Amino acid sequence: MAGEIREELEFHVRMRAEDYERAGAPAPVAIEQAKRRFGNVALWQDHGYDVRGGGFMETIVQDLKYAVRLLVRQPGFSLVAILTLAIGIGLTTAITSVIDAALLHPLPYARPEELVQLTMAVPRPDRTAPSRYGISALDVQTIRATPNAPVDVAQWDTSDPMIADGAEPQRLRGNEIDGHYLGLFGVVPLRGRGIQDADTRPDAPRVVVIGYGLWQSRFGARDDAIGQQMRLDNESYEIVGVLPRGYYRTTALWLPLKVSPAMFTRRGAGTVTYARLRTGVTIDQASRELTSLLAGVQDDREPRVPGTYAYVETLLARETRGYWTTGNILLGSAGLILLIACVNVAGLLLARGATRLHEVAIRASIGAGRWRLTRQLLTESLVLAAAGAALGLLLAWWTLDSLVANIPLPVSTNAPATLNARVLGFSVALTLVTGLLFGLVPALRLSRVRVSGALARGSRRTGGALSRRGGNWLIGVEVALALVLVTGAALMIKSFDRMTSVDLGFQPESFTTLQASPADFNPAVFGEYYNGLVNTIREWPDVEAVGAANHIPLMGSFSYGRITLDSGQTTNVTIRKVLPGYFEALGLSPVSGRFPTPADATSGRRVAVINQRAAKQLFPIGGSTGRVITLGKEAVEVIGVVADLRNLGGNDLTMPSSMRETLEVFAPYQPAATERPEPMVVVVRPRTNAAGLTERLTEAARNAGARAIVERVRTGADWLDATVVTPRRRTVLLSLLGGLGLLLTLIGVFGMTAYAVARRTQEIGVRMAFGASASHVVRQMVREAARPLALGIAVGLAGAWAATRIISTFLFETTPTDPSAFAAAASVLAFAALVAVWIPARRAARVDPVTSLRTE
Amino acid sequence: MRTKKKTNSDQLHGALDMLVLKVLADGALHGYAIALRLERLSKEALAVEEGSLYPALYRMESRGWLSSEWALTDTGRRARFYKLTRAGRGQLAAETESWQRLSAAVASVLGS
Repeated sequence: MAGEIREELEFHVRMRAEDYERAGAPAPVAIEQAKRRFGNVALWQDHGYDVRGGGFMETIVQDLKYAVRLLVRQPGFSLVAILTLAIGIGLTTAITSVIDAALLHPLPYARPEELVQLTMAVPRPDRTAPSRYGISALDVQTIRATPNAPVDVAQWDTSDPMIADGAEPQRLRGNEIDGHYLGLFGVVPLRGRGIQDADTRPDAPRVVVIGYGLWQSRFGARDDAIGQQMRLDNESYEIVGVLPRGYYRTTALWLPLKVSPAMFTRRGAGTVTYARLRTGVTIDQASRELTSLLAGVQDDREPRVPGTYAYVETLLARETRGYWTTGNILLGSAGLILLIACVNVAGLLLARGATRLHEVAIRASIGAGRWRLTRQLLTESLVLAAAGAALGLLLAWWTLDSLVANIPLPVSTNAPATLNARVLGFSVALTLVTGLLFGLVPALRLSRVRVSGALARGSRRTGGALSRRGGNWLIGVEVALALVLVTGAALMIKSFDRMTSVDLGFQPESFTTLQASPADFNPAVFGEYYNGLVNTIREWPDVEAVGAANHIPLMGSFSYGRITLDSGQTTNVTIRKVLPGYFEALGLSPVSGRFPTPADATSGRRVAVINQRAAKQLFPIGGSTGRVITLGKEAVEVIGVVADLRNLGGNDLTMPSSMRETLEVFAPYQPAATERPEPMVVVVRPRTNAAGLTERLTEAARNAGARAIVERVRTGADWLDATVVTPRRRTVLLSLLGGLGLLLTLIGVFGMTAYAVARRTQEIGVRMAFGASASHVVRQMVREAARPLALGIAVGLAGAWAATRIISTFLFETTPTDPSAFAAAASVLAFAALVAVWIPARRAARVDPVTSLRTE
Repeated sequence: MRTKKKTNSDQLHGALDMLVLKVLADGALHGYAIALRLERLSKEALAVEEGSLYPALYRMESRGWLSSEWALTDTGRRARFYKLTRAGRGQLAAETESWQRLSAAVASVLGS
């Protein structure tokens, strides 16, 4: 149909041109004149089409063509609108993709809803949550021996990092799993076999299954890796299998969970138990059946507490617990930004609609009905939304990896975030809703246009009444939406500032650490290595102090231990093994007594330092130096007291007091022959001008005797950073979202004001011709925008007050209604919005009255 | 597919419609030929842009006053030819009559 119309119109123009030619005009001139006489062929084709109509699909195609042509004809408008929508839709899509991967579908296994974790729960009278402990090997045995048990079970545990010796020694992370683990998840080894029941017997030969990454890096992805022997912690393991790519990328080793007698006690050995519900079995049913099944399990050493029951929880719930708040905040913020984008585009459409009155009136006059016009205008909006979505998807695809790397949500390497069918489907739905949202109001307003009035005035600039008020309240809406985002960001920034300016008791900026260990997994070698390394570095002229400890502050790890006093009283403490110079390297001075010296180590004296909290609690009447405490089986003499430190960093108030308020004992590092050798962190306090320290430390660690694994050199500030990674990510992300919302709002306010000014050139010209001064005109333009701005800020503050409590759990020493943050956000927004009004308003004042009157 | 109702825009078309019907009373013509005849009849009919003729033709066709078909011109080109339908002739007669009645009324007022 559209083709027929075009053919008919072209025929007309050609005939006219031929007539002109016959009358003597040269061909190009004839065609030019014929076209001018006819008018815009494409436009008349569209108008003809409006009247004539066609099949449903054909009308859509025609509308689409018209919409695309229109967008191309107004590149400035289209660019701003499409970019705005692309940011809104792209951001929402990217965040949806991460949420899909992290929270909705984090388990890439068959029937993930059947996967559960099992624990035993003991009700506590004083609290709602029961206390829980692991399922023991005894329980597992019972479940497996029961025909028709409601679940299949598998057990696993993390293992300490192991030293893999060889040409390039390295420390590797591993998990210990039983023979049912891989089968439970349906993980099929890529090469060789998985861990089997027989491997978990105490006397079974040592075997290991390796991860894909290690297979690639250490074995060159060769098939003959299977069957090779691997030295792990000075024992030989046979490699029997390789797991598929992407499966827990950071776990290199999968070892058999060796069954030990401890696992057969009632409470087990802290091993984690996963299970798969049999098809059709519900969580409640499984819990009931397991409770009665396990009540019969006998262990005379520790009778079951009455009321104990089997606690069954889906893995999905476990993996995502506590993260939905973050997910909702991110989705909410993205939604607000998308709304701002919609308001922006609606404002632009309204403003442009004013200049399109003439065209719409013509179409209405030649017989296009209101429905037909509305449909055409909505099609334009949808085309705009689709173009924005296409660019937005590109943006999402392009930024997804960096978003995943910086978002405070756990995205597993097993279930990476992708733009999959679910996400794309959501994005398409979003695009449709978006297009209708920003298109409907302008379309309905425009299609209601009164034909005779608009044509009679014949003006392309008289749309003021149609859109001025609309534009103004849209400014208010935008400001309100943006203020919610900016307030959230302000709160996060204030909270983060508080968190990082906490006095830790030491200055992280003042020291550097070296993490390295010998490749030979032998206590004597370890002792020699670290002593030698520290003694070497101590000789460097630009080093003020150097020492070492197995757990340094900010590392987040502890060893718990138990000490006995002279009185026989025993107390739980945390124990850190240190080499002399450690306290000085942290920049600490003794509160009383002294710190250990190299001479203490060589003389064989066993000396310890305790922190102030421990001194106060263990020796309340004072005089702790010189006292003897028993650490394990060894008596040590307390020679000094050190200040309490915030070992967990600024964030430590969010940790339980049992982890914060520890009694600390610092004992000398002298690994016994029977002990598991533990890697140390060397702490170096350089003088101000220590150049090339990182390289020299790495070199020293390599040359300090035995073949060494140098892991890394980093500063205390790096360690501090690591303790606030999640809060920082939240802060950075919410600040970026706030900034984006602010930017889009400013673009919107600027654009709507600029349109208003352009439309009212004539009115402004008249007023200036009658003597209004330029500054008066600017003031008036700003004043007109000030009311919706003020209203928007008031509504925005109320909205923020209601919304910010959702981030209250993320705030450190900052209330969600912190007045200074609210005031800061409101002032920033008000100031920026006024500037965005003022710049285009100033242009109005430059209007030349004579020119402006001539524009009609 | 479209329902027609009287809109205030219809009055604008009255004159052009009557002229087109009149031109086609003598036989089928293609769009360009209609434009030429209209030009001869009245300089004002297509004063703005010739393209405006086509939406009018389509509208009249959709009202059942005209029918159209593709045919070859004298010079052997493909063009769409329009002709009056029975309803179109009726419409022409009705409009002519109302014009005549109106002009007679005006004439009698002016002549008395």
